[in-house]
Amino acid sequence: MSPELVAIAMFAALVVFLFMGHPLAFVLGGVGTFFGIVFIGPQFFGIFMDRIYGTMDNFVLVAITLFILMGNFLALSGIADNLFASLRLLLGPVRGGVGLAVVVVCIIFAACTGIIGASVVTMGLLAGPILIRYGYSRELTTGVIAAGGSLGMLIPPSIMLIMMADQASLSAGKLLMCGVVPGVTLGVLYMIYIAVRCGINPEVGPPVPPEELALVPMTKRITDTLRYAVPPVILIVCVLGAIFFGVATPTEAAGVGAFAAFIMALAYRKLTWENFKETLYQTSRTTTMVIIIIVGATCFTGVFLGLGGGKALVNAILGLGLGKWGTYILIMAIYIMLGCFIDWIGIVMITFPIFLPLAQALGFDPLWFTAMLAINLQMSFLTPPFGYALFYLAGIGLDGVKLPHIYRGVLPFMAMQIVGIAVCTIFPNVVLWLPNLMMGG
Amino acid sequence: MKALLAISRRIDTFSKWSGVIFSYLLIPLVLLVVFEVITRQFNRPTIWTFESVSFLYGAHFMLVAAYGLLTKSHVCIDLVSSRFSVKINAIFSLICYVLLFFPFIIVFTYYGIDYSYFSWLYLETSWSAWGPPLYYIKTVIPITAVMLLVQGISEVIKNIGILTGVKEVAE
Repeated sequence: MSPELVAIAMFAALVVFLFMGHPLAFVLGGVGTFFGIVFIGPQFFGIFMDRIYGTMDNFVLVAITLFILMGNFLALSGIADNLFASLRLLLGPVRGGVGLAVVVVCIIFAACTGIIGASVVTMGLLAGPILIRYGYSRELTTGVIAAGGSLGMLIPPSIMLIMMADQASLSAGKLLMCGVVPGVTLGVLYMIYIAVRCGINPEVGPPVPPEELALVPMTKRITDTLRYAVPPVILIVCVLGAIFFGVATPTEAAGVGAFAAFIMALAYRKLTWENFKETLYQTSRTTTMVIIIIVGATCFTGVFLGLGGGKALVNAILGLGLGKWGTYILIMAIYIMLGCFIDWIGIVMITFPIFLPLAQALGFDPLWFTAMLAINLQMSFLTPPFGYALFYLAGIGLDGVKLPHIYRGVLPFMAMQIVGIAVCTIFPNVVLWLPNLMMGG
Repeated sequence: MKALLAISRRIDTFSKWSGVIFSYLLIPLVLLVVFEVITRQFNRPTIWTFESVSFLYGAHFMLVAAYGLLTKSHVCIDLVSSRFSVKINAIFSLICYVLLFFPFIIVFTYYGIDYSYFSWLYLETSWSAWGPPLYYIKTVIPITAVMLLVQGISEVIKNIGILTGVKEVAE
């Protein structure tokens, strides 16, 4: 069988079984096993065991476990709820103020968690009903939550960036730093949009009624906001600062961060033995989900590359003769399409072995290129008709919100993301400035 | 069928407890990382923390994999399958288990045993200055595989139960 046919057959099998709803990890492993036995023979599986052990012995990936644990402890400490409660009163007098509060909470909360589903669902449950109660339009409500919640993938500590760094053999610390400026800039752009839109037309995002504001004095609003904003911000600044200044590896920073988040949950008096145990179990479930996919994917990509499928696809794409930037746009378009169907872990594991050699052949800076893929993936989850964030949001079942509201709601935010991608493409330094400043590496 | 479902329930209980127990590996993992950072700050790094951290992390995510399968935590795409009935989904699921899951996990088990067997045979140790034995951590691979295999059997029984109508579908 020619490498081209193998590549097509493997992907076809992947798609068919994925849509049957089987766990991604085992679809990847199963398809790899089948093609491995038929076309390579059993000697492949010895290498596969080495790869599994390599995944278990990978110090960078330890950061994934620890960051997930940190995020779960922070979620437990209730900062998202309390910060939103105080911030929406603080920003309440402004038109669109509650929407602005959502984005701020998303930026801070995004930096704490790092799994997109988690932040979209949390923010949807937390802010969705409140926004609608204050008379925000359904479009703006869902757009803000979907766009804000997806920022978690980009703003470090992002699990996605760590995994991408591992797959692309880049420094995890540097790639994490690549996400900071684009992520925060997007957040600020969202806020400007909300402020301007609601400023012009308060119908879509009215201020909080003065009667309600009168109940809580200004000083209490400020102190409450500080009380719930300062500790997590300090934690994140310390974790990222330690990575940035080369004091600690991402893994060490994550470990200390997880411990600090535990202390924080304790300090906010949210920790009981029951929910401590539940936090550990939840962390186990998420961690094993993420990393077992890596195990399954090593089997798939090992066979795929071993049979020459990777080279065949790279040559096929190069053979299109689109040139450097034509190919870049093609890759970005493929990512947006894949984001409709598969979540980021699958996309990263399946496409990296093909796209990275391609980028190298075309002379792109691997760090910048990987960061661009991350920014793009974050957008692909908002892309109608199938973006993941949209489905998480529809699944929450907010009062009177239907899929078309969500589709219309995310469009302006997608437009801003496209602008963001264009800016980062034309001015690569937006992405690379911070990692280049980093000491050590 | 009733007897099979009883077996399936036993397996589920076993996997649940394995997940609960191995989740506690997270505690020494965090403490060890914190310990390493502190000892290094005082210029007293130990030679054993770095590898111990990897061992704990590796053992943790592997050994809770079967628990993840039980709790349906492994990511899947339900975009298409969620539009079909429970029974159709049970059929889909059975096809995938037979064609993908079991071949993969059987290979995983067989070569995993082989892989750790050789490690035990040579009493393999790490190349580092500390030089800990590697055969324990490598044995985690076949243990994980067997646990996944057993949990997979339970999932298949549950799906057959749904198809034959013996098992009530909890929605």
